[in-house]
Amino acid sequence: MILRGAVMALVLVTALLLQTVVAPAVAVAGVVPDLVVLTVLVLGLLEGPGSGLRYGFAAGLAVDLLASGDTILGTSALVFLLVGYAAGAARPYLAANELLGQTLASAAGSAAIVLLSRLLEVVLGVDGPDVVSLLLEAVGVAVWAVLLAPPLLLLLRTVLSSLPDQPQAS
Amino acid sequence: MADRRRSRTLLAVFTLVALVLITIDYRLGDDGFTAAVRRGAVVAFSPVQEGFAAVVRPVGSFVATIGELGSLREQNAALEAELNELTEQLPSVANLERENAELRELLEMRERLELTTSAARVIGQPPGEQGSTVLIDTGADQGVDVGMAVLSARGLVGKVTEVTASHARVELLTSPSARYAVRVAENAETGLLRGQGADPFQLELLDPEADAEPGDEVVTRTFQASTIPDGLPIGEIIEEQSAGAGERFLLVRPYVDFRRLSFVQVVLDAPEAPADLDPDDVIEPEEGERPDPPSDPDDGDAEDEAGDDGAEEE
Repeated sequence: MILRGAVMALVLVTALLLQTVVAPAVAVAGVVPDLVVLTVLVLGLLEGPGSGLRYGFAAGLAVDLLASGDTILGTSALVFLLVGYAAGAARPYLAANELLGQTLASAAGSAAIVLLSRLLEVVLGVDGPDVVSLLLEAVGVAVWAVLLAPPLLLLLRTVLSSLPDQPQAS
Repeated sequence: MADRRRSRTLLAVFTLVALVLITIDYRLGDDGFTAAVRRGAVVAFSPVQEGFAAVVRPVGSFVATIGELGSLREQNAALEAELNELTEQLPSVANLERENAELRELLEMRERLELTTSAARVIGQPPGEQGSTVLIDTGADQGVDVGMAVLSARGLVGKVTEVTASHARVELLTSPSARYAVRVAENAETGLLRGQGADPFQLELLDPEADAEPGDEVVTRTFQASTIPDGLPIGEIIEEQSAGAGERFLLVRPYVDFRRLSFVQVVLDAPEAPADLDPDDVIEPEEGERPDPPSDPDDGDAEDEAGDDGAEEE
């Protein structure tokens, strides 16, 4: 369990570094891939709802802590844990065509996180982009997720299956 | 079944924790301990980010260059065509001398600003933000403070919103919450500029019927309580948009390429425009410079009135 936790922490730190340093350089039409969100979804899909929500909460909290002062602490944590849990709960329904199903679920989850985050910001009175820009951003991160989810799924599945312990809540 | 129940319990617990965090941060705002925790997180993570950026930057530049090869060729062809066109249109020497004199005056005006700046490297973008802010590797130790303007070689980039000892966060002009008082350089019409993410900036002129044409330059305007120096270039107007009910907006294309920021300069000594006149600084006219009181046949009354005025001023 400790080893699995350490691997997930390493995945989170790596995703945060890639997100903050590399992702802005590969923006297409102003939309950058959301790698942290993608790891939340992929780990939820691979490990189940328990791991999905725990990792989602930790990742969301890290994003909130490193984001600008306009962001309210806990908003990303809430959205990420809900979507991480949902991804884990959806796992049994994607068994027929696993890789395709998981990729599409990652894309849908990425778009859902953009929209849910904005919805929460609106409720809390935080300024944000207009509806058209928001929808374009949701579509953009979903397209990035379709491209990046398969290699990430394969990589993390290989790494996690090589660990001796199994996730507890799945 | 037990696992599912356990997951739901965890879901409820973590959701509750997140909601408590949101409530605390929402109520405390920028002054609470959550803001201090955030600054601590940035201080702890920035050096890791910086080291990682130093390692991956050469790889990123190589990949970016390959990605830009097509556009670079097009740009090269366009520049060659432009050069040929300009060569054919070489103006007369007299005309050049006149333009030179005008430009020299403009240059002298710019030099009068005498800005002191601190150079900084852009480390990265905070996670979860689509081009709203960047972190830079200079902070309070170098004299950087909240509100200071940040420039690139092409113009205004944004302003500092948070500072640690060695790093600072810059809100870019592209941020949807960015608002700047600006002026059209050609005709001095004033307006409000708003960021729109990856889209061109939106400019609303204070006078809705003012003239402003595509190609006109937009520069910063010093406003009350502003720390942004006057006259910094921002971008050029590209088109006009009607918003209905007589309203209209102008779209402004920035000079700065916000996706390719690597070095910026923080303006350290911009004079802060006061929000209002400080009553302590108001200079009273000297006794001899006061306007003469209206002539009154009764001199004694006139002296009494002057005495009353003096008491009120104190």
